[in-house]
Amino acid sequence: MEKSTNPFYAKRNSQHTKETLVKLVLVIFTYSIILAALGIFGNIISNGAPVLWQKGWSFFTKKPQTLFVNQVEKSQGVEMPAKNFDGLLTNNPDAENWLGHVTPFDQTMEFVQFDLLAHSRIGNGYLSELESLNPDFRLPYTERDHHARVGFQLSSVKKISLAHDDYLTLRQADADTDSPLLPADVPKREIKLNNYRITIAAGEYPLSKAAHDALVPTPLVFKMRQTFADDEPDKINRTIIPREQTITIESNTYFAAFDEDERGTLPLKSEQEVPFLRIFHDMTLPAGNHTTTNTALAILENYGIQHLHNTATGAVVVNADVTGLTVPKAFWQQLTAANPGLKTARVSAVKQTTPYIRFDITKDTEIQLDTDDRESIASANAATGKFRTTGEETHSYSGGGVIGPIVGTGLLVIICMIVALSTGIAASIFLNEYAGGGSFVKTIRLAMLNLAGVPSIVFGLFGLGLFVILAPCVTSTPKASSTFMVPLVKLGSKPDLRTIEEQHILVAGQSDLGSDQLSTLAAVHSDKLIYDGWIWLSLQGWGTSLIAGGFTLAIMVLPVIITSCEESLRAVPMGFREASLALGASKWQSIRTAVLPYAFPGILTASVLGITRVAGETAPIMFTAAVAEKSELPWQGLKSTGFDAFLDFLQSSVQALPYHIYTVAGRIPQSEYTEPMQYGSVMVFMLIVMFFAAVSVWMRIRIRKKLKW
Amino acid sequence: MSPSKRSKKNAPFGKSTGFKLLGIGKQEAIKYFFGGNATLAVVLIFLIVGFLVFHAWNFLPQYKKSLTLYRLSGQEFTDYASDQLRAQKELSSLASQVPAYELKHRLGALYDLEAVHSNFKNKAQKKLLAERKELQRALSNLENTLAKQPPVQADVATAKARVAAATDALKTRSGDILGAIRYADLDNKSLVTDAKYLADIRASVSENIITGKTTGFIKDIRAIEAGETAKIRALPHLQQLEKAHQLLLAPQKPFAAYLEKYRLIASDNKGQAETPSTAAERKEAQLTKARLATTEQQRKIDLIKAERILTETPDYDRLNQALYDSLDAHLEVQQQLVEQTRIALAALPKASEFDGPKAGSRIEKINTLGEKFFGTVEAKRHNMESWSHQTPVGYGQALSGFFMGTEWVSNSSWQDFYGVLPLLAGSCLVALVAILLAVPFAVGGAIYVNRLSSPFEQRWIKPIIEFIGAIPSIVMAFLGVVVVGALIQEHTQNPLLSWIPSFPVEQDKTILTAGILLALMSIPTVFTLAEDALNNVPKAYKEAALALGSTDLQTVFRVIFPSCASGIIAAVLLGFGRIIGETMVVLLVMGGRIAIPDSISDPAHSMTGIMAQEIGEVEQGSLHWSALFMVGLLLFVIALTLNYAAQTILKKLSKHS
Repeated sequence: MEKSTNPFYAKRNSQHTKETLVKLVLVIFTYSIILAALGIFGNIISNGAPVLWQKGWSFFTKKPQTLFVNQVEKSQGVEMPAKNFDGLLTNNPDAENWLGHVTPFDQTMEFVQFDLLAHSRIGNGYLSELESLNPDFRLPYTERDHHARVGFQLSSVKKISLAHDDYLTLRQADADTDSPLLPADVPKREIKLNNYRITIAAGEYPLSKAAHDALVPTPLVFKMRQTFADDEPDKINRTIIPREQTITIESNTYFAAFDEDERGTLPLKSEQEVPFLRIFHDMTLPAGNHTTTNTALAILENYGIQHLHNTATGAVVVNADVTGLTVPKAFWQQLTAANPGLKTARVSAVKQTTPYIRFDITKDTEIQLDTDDRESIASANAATGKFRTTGEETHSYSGGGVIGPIVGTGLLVIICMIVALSTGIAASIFLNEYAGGGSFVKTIRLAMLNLAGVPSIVFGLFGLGLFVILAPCVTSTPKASSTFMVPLVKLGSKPDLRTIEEQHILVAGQSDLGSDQLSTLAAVHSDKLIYDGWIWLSLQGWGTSLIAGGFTLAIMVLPVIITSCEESLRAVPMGFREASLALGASKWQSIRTAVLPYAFPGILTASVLGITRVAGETAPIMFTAAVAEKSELPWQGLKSTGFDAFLDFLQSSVQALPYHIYTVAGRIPQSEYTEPMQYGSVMVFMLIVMFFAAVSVWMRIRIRKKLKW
Repeated sequence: MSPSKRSKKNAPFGKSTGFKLLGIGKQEAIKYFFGGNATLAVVLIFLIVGFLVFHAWNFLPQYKKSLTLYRLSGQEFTDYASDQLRAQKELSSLASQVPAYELKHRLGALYDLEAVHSNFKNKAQKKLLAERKELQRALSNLENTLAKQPPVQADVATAKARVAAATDALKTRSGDILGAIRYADLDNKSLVTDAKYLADIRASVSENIITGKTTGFIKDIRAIEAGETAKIRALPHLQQLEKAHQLLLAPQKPFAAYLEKYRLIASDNKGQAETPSTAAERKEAQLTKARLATTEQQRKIDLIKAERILTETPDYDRLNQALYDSLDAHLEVQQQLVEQTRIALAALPKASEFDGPKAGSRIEKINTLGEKFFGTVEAKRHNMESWSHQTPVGYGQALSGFFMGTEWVSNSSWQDFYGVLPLLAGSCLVALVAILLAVPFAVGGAIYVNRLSSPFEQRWIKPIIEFIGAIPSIVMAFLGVVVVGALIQEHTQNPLLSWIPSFPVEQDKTILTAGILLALMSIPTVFTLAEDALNNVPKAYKEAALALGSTDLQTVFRVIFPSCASGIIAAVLLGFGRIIGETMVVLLVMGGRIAIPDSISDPAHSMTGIMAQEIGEVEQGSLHWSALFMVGLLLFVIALTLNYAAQTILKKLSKHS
């Protein structure tokens, strides 16, 4: 202390060392944050970039698929379509080790092209096969025919023991046709059987599960003290017989329910055998094509005849001519044989060539294949048997690319930003241009501050409660489970039969039933939708859908948008407004012409900032919009046209990138085969989010530099 | 006179638009439109509260009903006894773990050698697919040739040559591949390895792949290990432990038999109690169905089904009589349990006798739990004696069952419990860990960047830290699953760190892992706000302090920091609020174990995680559904409180300056 009185003299003492140390600690703190950031980005880039490099463009054009890991035996002359071969190469970077003799060639396949004429009868399964072979073709049929003749194919001789009633029906089906199904004379066989007439006294008894199950179809009234669980077959429960009853039951029921000398059976007060004769008809159906009636086929189903008709609903009646359908020759033969009521025109054989690749697998190896590649290689070599696998593992969502999630995230962000910006800008204009400082504005600001602090998962719950299960819909086919329904006008157009069947619509008659009765009726018939000619306002929610997710995200991001829009409005100098007003512009005119254009860059920054926030969120879309598995993009496979199609599009669920990452990182078993998909998706996701983040940072800097008043 | 009116009537430049609806002109309509949009913020807050309450408010009556059934059926009674057994089983399972830890510690690399061996084998086998297949084919070819009667000598020779060639190929290739595998490549990083075995392991794996038989090396190792193990097991303290363990196990059997018998009765009672609770509705539905039936036959069937539904409530007195009568039987098995456990605990060797730290810590845990055990037994016995199925369950009990309940069990065939405590504890603990980790870094970083760094650093560090804030939480969660969890598990095994409580971490998905990731996520928030607070300190403070001769750091810590402390506290509170509401990281990285965690190295579950995980699979309007919304409501309240507190502090601060 004595040494110097100079205040600027720096003393080299412990104080100095301490200061350096503290400073060092602060530097370490700061730079370790930076290091952590670099570690994160470094890890993602170093693992993700090779994946993108390897998968190339296909990662952005394919949908997520299941990855098959096959152990394949060495083989020569394996064939597959050229485009799937590309997929094989992308998935197996080590392919040069085991690929040999890769030769491209053209595979020629025979197709049949034909026109389908109106009033044709066609079976359900055949129609859907036809539709899957011709992606543009969808038949909105309005009528079914229960009496159409149908065909089926037997690959081998079939022996059948027909019950008497069934025999009679089949005989009748043969009556008015010249190609009868049944042989002329069918031997008869009689078996003596007993029915049992039993009386059970009132009381409370133990009952085993087997006996209970046998008694359920009988008319016996018994009250169970408790229900049986499926996984406890040996359980004994107590049952109450409320009054003495006498019933007649078949012998197998009798033996199952009463003839056990175990504990859980009901005591019989009296029993009596009622003998009767059962008649069987033994016959043989030769292999080949057969035709019969729909009713008869329904019976034959029970005897193990396989076909693609739906005997319960009958054949579909084609309501208009359809031109230019193409099917493989094999299916054409099957189609014509099974559908005698099919009317076709302009049938012509067509040959199509597809580029194929033939290659050798030079040694036993492990091949990774996406689902579609796996299917194509299996079907292309099914006949030759040259693609032999000795082991197969599947990894869900680990193959293909991420087009579905990218598109889903993009659409969610677009919808969200449309909603959030339109309300957010309006709100910020009010707060900055119109409102003073009153308590109303204070409340709004307080609400906004609090809204910004709400956890994102709570927004998810809110979206689930409001948009997914309660939001209003105007529709002619409201959900039977709707919370609340009001009829609006009686203008609904009846959906076609196909829609009614596929969506389980209850079509109520002319009588005007209330919504409660309609719901009950639908529940009884286990229908999901209701149609009665009225257009309803129904609080049934939008379901897990794009629009529900978009709105939820919009609400979440609203405070951010409002705050930053307001900031950019505030940055416009007061003089602009004053000058404009002084020139005679109205308030709105001056906002529109003198304020908004200058605030626009700021608003744009706000929206980019909003996009960054929204695109990265998982929790709010988990239950409102996102699904893990979806084979089609949102605009594909819509079953309506025009504006309805747009509504359907908005109400379809989507895959989303963050949810996809959640699925591959947290919901499927981890393995080395899943890792490329994980890092690839994360890399793409980060590229998108970081791009927007960088744009917003850049724009903010630019605006600060450029727009200085 | 309001300004808008004036502008309409007197404005000299006003165009007379003529547009007027209900006395509202165009300008006013525009204003109201904008105002309406702004009001949306207020409406939304109320809607959110409204919806959470709307879906949650059914929870209390439903939970009360569920608990009433739980009591009426006697499940509650038997659960007291199961709690006793569970407490004792915890002791015995800990005791059974000790020898393994002790063995592992004493044997070292020897203990894990077989695991390492098979790990190596798995790795190598995959790459040797072609060679192994070829050998298989050659062998089966040889077999076929030999099976021919009589065998053709020339063919046999070729076949043998093929086998020899295939074996050679496999040997060379497996040698190459195994040579490249090192201990660092092992999937399970917690395996103990020793460099001296490496060459032997490689050779042995290669041999094993070719012959498919257990190799001599493994046999030797097994023999050595068995010898060592026997030696260690023969040590007096392990013998003593084994004796104690057997003593602990012995009384469990009769107790379990007692429990099983009466649990079956209780679960039967529950079935009987549940059946009539929904009977009236089901009967009504069935009758409606009969009324609307299309065919006479269907109508008859429906009527019979309706008639079969039992509507009378069971006689609970009679159902529960067996349970009341079982008190004496229980006392008997309980006394056995207590007596034997007391002897066992007395016979337990001391923790200090064990070499392995994990073994020792488990012995200590047995001792602490053992002290509590007798109290638990007494309390539960008392509960059983005073239990009556007729005591009504009140709303208070349902409410405390939620807020104080330590169990969250859903979809159970026995009884569902919705106690939020384990979730709340998990959420709070992880947020606490995260904020404690984040604050020094974020605030220290803010001080450095704001006060001490060069302009160049300022220009670069801030955007980089803000960039961290833009990393989506799911990406953080993914990194936690794939990288960070394993990293933490691996590095905490280091003996140098063992002084830190709850180290070494034995799993990869723990509170600590999630906490570290959440800390990283909250650093940008806290950093930005803290930096703002530092920025807002008037320049004069700094100048005055420096003029008085204080150094840079003295200025920062004695003058500037105190004057903006409340701003930093607000920043921390806001950061805490963000962390506690974070979902994806805690869902994926925290391990998902629903129990109150003992330490930060335990896995746990959280409020946000449980909602994300379960609400997708729950029936709308059910008890489980409303329980999840209750959790949501609680989370909402916590987040709002924190937010409000932070805002209040910030507001005071801004008034101050």
